[in-house]
Amino acid sequence: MIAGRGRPRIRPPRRGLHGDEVDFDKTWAIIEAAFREIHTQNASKLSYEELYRHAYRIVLKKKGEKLYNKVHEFERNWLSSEVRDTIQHLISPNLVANAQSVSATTPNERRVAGERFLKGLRKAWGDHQVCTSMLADVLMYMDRVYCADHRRPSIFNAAMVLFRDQILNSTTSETDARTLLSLLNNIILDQIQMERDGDVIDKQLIKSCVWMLEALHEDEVESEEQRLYNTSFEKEYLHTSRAFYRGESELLLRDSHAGAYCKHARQRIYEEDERCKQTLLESTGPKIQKVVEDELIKNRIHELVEMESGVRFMIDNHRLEELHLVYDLNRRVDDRKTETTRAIQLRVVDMGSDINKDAIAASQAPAVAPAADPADKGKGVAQDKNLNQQTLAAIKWVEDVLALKDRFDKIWRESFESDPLLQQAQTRSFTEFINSPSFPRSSEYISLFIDENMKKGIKGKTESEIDAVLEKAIILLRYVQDKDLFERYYKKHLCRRLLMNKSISNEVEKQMISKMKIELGNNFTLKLEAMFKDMTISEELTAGFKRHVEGLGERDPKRIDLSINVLTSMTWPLETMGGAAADEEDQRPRCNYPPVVDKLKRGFEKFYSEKHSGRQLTWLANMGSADIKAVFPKVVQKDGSFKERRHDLNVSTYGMVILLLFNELGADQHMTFEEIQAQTNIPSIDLIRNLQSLAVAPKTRILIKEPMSKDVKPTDRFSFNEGFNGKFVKIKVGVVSGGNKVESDRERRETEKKNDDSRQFCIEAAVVRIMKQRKELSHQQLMSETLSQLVGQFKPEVNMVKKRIESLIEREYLERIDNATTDMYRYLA
Amino acid sequence: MDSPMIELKSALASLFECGQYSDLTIVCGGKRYPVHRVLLATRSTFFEGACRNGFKEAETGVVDLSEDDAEAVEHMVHYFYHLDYLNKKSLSRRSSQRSNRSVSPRSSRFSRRSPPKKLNLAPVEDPLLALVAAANNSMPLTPPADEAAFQSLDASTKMPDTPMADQIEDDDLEIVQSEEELDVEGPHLVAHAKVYAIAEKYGIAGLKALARKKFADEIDLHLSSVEFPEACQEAYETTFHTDRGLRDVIIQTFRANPSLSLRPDVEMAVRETPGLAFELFRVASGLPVSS
Repeated sequence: MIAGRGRPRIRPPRRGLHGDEVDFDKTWAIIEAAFREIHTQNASKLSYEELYRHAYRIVLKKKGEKLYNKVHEFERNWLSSEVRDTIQHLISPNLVANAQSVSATTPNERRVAGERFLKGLRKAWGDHQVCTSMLADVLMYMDRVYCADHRRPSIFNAAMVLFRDQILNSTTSETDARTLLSLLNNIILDQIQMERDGDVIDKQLIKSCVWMLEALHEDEVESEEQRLYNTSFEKEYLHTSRAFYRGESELLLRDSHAGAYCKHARQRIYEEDERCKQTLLESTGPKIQKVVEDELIKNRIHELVEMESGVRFMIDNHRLEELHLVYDLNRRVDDRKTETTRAIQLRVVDMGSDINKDAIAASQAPAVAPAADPADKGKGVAQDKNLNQQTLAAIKWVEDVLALKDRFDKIWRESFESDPLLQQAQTRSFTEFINSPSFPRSSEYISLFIDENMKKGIKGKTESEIDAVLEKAIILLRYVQDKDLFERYYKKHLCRRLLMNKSISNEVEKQMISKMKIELGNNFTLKLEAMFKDMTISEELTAGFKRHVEGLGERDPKRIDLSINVLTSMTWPLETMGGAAADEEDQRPRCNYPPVVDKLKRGFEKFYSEKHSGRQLTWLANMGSADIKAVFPKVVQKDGSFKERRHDLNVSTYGMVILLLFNELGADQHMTFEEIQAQTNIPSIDLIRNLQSLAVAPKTRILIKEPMSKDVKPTDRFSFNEGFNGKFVKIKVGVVSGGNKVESDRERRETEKKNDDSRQFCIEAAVVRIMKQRKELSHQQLMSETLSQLVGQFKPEVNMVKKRIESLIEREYLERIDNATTDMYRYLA
Repeated sequence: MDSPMIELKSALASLFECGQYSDLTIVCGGKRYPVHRVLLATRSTFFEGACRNGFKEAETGVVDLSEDDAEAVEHMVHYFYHLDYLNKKSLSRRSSQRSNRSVSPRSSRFSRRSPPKKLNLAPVEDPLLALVAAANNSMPLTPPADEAAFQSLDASTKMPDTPMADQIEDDDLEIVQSEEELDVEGPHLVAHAKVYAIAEKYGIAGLKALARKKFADEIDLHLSSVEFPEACQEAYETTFHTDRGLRDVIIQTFRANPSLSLRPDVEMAVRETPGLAFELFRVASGLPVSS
């Protein structure tokens, strides 16, 4: 033991192990025997310290490599002789058959056989790991010193690689060249397929085998991509899953509803996610999700949306939940949700177009619904009924569009999680059908809707309800592109409301204006506000004139009160009030007023010119009204009563002029239509209308017409109806066609023409503004800047803009720049 | 050192002294050390392996290290609980034992199986004794090993606050005094080399570094001692040839003190230690020490 150390000094003799060579073979024999015991689960008899010490000594004496090789060889032999046999015995014929044709055996048989194999493999792998880690603990010093210095894989890793080579890469049997690894993959895939088909499988068992594949690598590179799990199993898994889901989606699309398909797809996505968590590895999650999404959604979403039970069906049948499913699926594969968006847009435009068509049909239908308007009672002339029906159609249109909007808003909120993209899409679609070239009436209809509400609809409503109504109008207004056209209609309707005192609440009118101001800007409401201002000034004028008259001296009991509205001619769309005959200001016929009225008129003119010199007043007799106290003499009535009757008649100004004529007539005298016209100078159309309401309408038949008929002919004679008997003291003599109606086609053409005229000015103004600032500009830029400037008012036609530019060039506001590569313009100051 | 640190260290020390909660026993020579798996397995790869696996040791709870140098084992165990070894208190203790061992190094191996009666006292916890010890806490006299155990015990359990502070004072003083004491006590170069080797063998990185530091600190002070050549031999024979820890220190010392080679005992050691001889040869030839 101790080599000659004949040193004189006393010192502890060295331990044998330090100085001596180790007998390698003897020591290895001890270690090998111990390893066998470890592999047969008898380790508890062995002293760890002893084995550690032996291995330590061998390494210390520089025999590390020899030891390493011996251990390696030992492990290889062990695996190839003991373990491989055990595994191969677990392979039953139906498992091998399974790899070739699944139909050969029942799933249950395959499942049991598969589990037997997996269990065997799991045990072999588990044992191998435990034993090898014990070996590695014993050989710790070798790992630390020898393996680190010589860059050999640790003995544990080397043993894992051995397991891969000796077990997984070995053939299933002597006659079958397929490896155990591919068999393992097939078995796991088969089990997963069973689970997809509804069987219950041992997830934990599969998971442990998956962990084995995760721990082993394809080759020496130990990266994640090189794990056997990734290179072998996962690849196959994704491949077979793709095929499976492709087939399944085809089958489902053929055999089931879109809603059921969506639910199923979502279930599958969930299942795969769970499978990755419970049975496989989570890292597969995104990959398999992509496969499922590709096959079940991405490649099928178009078909799915288009199915008979697809998006259209869901919208029509209020299947909000299913729509949400579609949306959810679509969202997974497409950030823009193209298919859903497309289907929704299509449906909005379709349904919108239907509403448009309905409105056109309703407005053009012959007057067959007399009960539709109780106010009219079907006793007006046929044209009036028609007009009323159109108004109804207009209001129905607005309400339908609002209902459609509500409906899609609900879908948007509940099914599409308030997705902004879809909101934009819906807005685009609403804009599209509301501004559709085949339906030019939206501006007018919206204005009429507001008109109707201002006059009737808001009666008895609370503030917040009114606000909701106004807000609805604003919502629709947002969609309208030709805001200028809307302004034109709104002014017209507002004008009538103001002058005829039809508005229920001035406050609400102003509220509406301020809402529009917020939505459309100051410019838009400027003229509307001026109208309100005129009304206020007129009230002051009326009061002022009244004081003035009172100040004139003695009170005349027969004095006529005057209430007057002075309107700025450019602000008010008076032509729309004047009827057909009042197109041109100068041609407006002067009505001959009775002397008492004429005196009053001159009095006010004098009063007004004192206040505002230089202003010219034009009297619009067609727009005013008058209250007349009428006394009907004692004549025998139909019911036999005999007494004098007094009535307060509210008639149009023209009506007053006509009635006053009969004051001077004897009881039995009469006048012909021509005589009346000659005396009053009232335009015949207005005259006919007023005579109709005074002599034809049964409740207000103050005059008697001969012969009695609905139409008024120039030769008809009129006389005072002494026997008139009304139920009320106050009687309003309505002038036919007084309310706001949808325009006739002719009127619309006129309105549009006027609108186009004013658009031309707007375009020219915009072009000049732009050119003045930019001096020189290409045609393209000028066009786009002009369009963007005008977008708040209307959407001009490109052709119109071009014509305006031409016209400006002719008038030398602009010139073309010669020899420029593109069309360029220069501003001429 | 802040108080949480003191708390931990004194708790560890008391665990060692009285063997509370011990779940593993190290046997070496005639001694049995009741130790704790958590403390050892977390710091030594060897003990981790011993506790983790289904070998005999894990079942019986006994690790027999009789094949190892008893002194090194004692230092190692001491280190596990005190984060140091061969400091003031253990020095005195060790010196007496060393003489014992050096007289008959094999006797301990033979007497391994006989019950080590003396050590059985260690885990005994007698409150009366503890109180007495607490009273005698400030005794300047270095107490024998077993008494030291009681002293530490009471320091941590009976008088939690001030005695601990006292101990710190002790520790600090110790560092200051260590140089003088070393001079008085003589060199421990061989001991350090042994501890270094056992730390390497059992995979205790902290102890290995500590031993190397102590060895390097001491070697210049004890160049002339008889331990020097012996320590060189020990260092070269007990660790793997690529381990440069102590080898570098030694070669450096030879380089700085050429006259060392002239000493006959050194010459003898170099002759007997081929690894050392070869490296000195390379140094003399102006070559790098390791190829």
